[in-house]
Amino acid sequence: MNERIKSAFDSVKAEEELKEKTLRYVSSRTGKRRPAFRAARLLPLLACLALVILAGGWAWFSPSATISVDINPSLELWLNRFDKVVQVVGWNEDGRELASSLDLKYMDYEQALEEIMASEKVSSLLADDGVLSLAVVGDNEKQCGRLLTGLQQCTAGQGNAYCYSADEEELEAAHSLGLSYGKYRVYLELLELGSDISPREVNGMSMRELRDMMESLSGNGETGSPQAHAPGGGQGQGQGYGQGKGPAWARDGEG
Amino acid sequence: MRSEYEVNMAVERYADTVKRLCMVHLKNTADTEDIFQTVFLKYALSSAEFESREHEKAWFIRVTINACKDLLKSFFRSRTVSLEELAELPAEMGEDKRYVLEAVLSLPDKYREVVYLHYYEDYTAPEIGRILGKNLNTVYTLLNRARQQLREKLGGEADE
Repeated sequence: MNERIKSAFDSVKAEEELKEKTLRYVSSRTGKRRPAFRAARLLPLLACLALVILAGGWAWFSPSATISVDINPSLELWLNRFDKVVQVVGWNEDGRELASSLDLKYMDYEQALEEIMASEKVSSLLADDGVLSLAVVGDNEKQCGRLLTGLQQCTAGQGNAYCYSADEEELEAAHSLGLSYGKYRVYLELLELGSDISPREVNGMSMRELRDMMESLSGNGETGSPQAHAPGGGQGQGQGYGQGKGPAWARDGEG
Repeated sequence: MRSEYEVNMAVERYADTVKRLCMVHLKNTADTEDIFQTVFLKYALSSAEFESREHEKAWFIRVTINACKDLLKSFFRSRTVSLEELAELPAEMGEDKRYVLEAVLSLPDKYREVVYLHYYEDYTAPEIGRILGKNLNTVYTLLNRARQQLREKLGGEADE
């Protein structure tokens, strides 16, 4: 009989709901607030949520590719993996002025580029036979390929626009000299042609002036191939100046 | 006053004991909730020091039994609730367990608590006397009568 009584009482248990209710009551009477749910139970869920938000924030705000825009204003559009502009950096006086006059943040890169090309400064330079260099730099090949194609479409109507791609290392080398990537490429070409021009001087000159200087140093009146191939396989847009040697920066990537 | 942690631990340790004592003394769920609140609030506000876990458990048993008796004595309750109906038993309980519990709960109140303390909590007659504040001989008498009645209801030998 002992065991039967023990076993019968053993099967009587306090319900979880009753325990919770009691704890809430005691908390309310002793001034210690007890939430309706035990916060500890929600911790794993909150941690996952925080992780998702952090990862999303990181993916949104961290740049994964750069478009270097050079005409005379030199500026760079830093893009996130969704091709949105997360930062605009001016690399010379004109570039900084242009960057501050336009509100390009979180804009799609194509729209940002259109805004830049439509700006008074750039549009007047383009109308005055200015040369526009657009470089896509990044380690994500897929994104860079997509951006290069997009840039080529954007500048299809511009005869003097050159599009190409490069990698992160080259971008870092450019930045270490205080130059945007487009001007850095021209600087390297000028050094190769025997010029002793300084990065500072390059930074102050327009792409048209630099291009003219390259032509005179190479002793060639022609201005390059009609298509500027990118090292990454992308193809540039250029005006049709024939098949001359042209400056190497516009010939990069040619087989 | 005790910390929230201490109260949580006490609920985890003694909720089942309080629940069983409520079932022994009371008939319905609403009263059980009242007793839970009274007992654990008293514990939270108490600064009593316990020498051991056994000491603490005995405190909970005594306070719960007193709270149940106070509730049964209250004027309002005596006019509104029938004392004859049987306590609500868990729906999922097996047939034999239900039968045994019904036999225990059908005993008079003074027998029910000694049966619970002796058969389930394994307290000796002197311990039961201390917990309930009763004379040792009274406890022996109560236990003997309870045993006889249970034997009649359940059959077999008690205390074997």
